[in-house]
Amino acid sequence: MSPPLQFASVELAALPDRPLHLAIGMFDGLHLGHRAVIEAAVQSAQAGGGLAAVLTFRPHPSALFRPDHPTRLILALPTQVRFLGGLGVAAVIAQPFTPQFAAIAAEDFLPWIQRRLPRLSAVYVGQNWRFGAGRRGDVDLLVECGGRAGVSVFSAPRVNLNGQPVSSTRIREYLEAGEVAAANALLGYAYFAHGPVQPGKQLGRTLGFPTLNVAWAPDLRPRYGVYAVSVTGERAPGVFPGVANYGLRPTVEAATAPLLEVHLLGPCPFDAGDHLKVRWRHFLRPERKFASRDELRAQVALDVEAARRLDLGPPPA
Amino acid sequence: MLGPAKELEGVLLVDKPTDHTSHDVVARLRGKLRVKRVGHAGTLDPMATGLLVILVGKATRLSQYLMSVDKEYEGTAELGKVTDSQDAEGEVMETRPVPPLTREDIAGAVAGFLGDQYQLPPMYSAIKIGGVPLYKKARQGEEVAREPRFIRVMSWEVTGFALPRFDFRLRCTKGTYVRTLVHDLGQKLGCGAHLAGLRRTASGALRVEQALTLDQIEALSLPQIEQRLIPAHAAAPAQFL
Repeated sequence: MSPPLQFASVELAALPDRPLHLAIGMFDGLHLGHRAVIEAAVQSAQAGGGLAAVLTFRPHPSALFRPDHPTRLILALPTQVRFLGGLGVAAVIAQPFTPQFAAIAAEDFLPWIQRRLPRLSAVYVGQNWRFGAGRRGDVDLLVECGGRAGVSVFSAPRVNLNGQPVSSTRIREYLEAGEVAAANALLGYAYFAHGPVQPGKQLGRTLGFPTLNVAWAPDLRPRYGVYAVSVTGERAPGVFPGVANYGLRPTVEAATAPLLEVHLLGPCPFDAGDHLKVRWRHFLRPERKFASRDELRAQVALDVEAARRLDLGPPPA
Repeated sequence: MLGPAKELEGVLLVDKPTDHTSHDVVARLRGKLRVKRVGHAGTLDPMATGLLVILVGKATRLSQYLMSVDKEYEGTAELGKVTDSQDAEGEVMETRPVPPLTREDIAGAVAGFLGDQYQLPPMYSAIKIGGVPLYKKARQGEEVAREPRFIRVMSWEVTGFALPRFDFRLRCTKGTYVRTLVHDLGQKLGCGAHLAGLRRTASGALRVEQALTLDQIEALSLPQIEQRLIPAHAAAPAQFL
């Protein structure tokens, strides 16, 4: 699938001249509930010879309303765009969430989009989605505005997993608590890091556990600790099980920004410069400072053993 | 000289006794029917009773279709006890006091589970990962990654109520774990719950009222059994034959 077209605002969106099926929302994490909305847009577009696109916002609206503690994002925009391409979305518009944009009255929201995207045929949102100044707009108002504008409105009901609503907030809480398996269940895929391998400081090698240092700076930081992971990369086919340490490495250097280091359980075909996808599967233990490098080395050996015993099978998607 | 007897073929409806695995039933029938190809369309847990759809001879090719149809169950949930298997077979992991819930409280909580949703299969399940059933891994204390499944609960009604237990009737899509629904309901209510009893009453249009017990089947002669077999064309739409 070719990567989607990407536009930096609704004004700049130069879309192909076809009926536009537009899914609107933050869709942070692209969890099971988000995908129900987006898949509805993609399927309708395919059925009617239209174009499926996503309108999302940057930064997260919370950055405007509570700048001291904005909501941290699970997926970086380039990752989200690539993911959306895989779902069949042809274009992604990342609208700047500015004070002016936030001030658009709820009644004017749909007409504002329609003036700029005249082929707008249908919009797809989650049932609880709110829009417009003061978040006054809800699905009922959207349906009303759509009726006047000749735009169909589709709202997807909230999705439950085991009786609990699937929500980005819960996923963030799980990730921050290290409960990656629970987060993965709600996401419907394994949470992952994506980045190039950087030449490291060879600290792992001196411990007897060579590591790949993956350049990755997520907005939402999962809990610092040791995880069982599944690694894939273009250089070698297959899925490589490993253990990852994500954190500040208090025993060896006390870094200021967290690092992601991955040690593969088997031979390592990857090297500096390779782009890796590291899927997080299972939380093994929190990061902590050891009294000595020997103590750390002994614990890493136990971590590797624990990861080996886990039979995680192939990662979901 | 008589030629070789024509191999039996068709769908046989069995009312599974408790304490039998679905495979036990198949094995017993294979001996009785003297047919190699005998299968079933959808596992029932050993504890559960009720409709097991048995496929005989060439009818085994209907297995995919007959497995895919909606299921109907009657069951009993027990509140206040959480078990590792989510049913009465497992170890009690946790005992919590049951609040003074009314029948309406239960009916309201149950209604929250209607419709399309995802369900994470329980650790104790027949699903295989890497060729090994999950329940074997669970017994060894291994935690394995499971994938959520898309299910739908069409109806879930409370039919009897006597705390800490209640009876229910439920219709759902294939692959739904009723014990997981009951477990999750218990989590929602706060007191925990497990599935104390389960009976499958229907699988698609096939109903348990049409089924025979294993003992009844074993008392019949082969020609009598042949008369009870539902022909393949009556059990599945033409495109699956």
